[in-house]
Amino acid sequence: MPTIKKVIDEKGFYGDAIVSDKVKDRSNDPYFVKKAEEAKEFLRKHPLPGHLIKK
Amino acid sequence: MNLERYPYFAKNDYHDFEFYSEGPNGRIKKAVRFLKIVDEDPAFYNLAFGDVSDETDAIDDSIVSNNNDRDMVLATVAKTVIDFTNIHGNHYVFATGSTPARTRLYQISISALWNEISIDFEVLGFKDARWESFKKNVNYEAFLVKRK
Repeated sequence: MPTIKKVIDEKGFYGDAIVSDKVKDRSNDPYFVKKAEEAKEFLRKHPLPGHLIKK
Repeated sequence: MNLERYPYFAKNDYHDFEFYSEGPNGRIKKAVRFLKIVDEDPAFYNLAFGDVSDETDAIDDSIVSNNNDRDMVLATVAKTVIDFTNIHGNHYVFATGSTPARTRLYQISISALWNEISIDFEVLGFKDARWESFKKNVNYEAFLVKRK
């Protein structure tokens, strides 16, 4: 049976998302994989310069 | 950020989110996915989202939903960034449209919602071969977002 619950994040605040096991793992969705590969290539060609990086 | 948004659902690892757009073209399922693309310090994740095909349950980037709720959809996606970074850390999130026209729509929406978005996020835009702080009315090729 699917479960739906709200969770508390590590800072103790309620997140707004409703956690549900109905949400599909799309890590292998061809569109999302293609977009991630394109993004990786974009950042390889155009890295964020050091002076703009905030850690 | 107090923009009107849709209720949204997360998988328990907080990499996948789903919500429903509602408008003149019906109820359309949207999916958001964060995928790590640079595993360094700081890490970079790609944010991608799109419409879920009723037929295949896969993302179909050819769908143009035209549900007259662009800003509400963007506000919902922005909330997923907040939840994702609350759970996984304040990483950089990269985003670009699937076409130049869609990237331009993101730029228009970010500009329209800038007073709210800029409260929570630092936004960088890529244009003319360099990254810069986001400015309204500039057409960028890509965006990097980080929580303040």
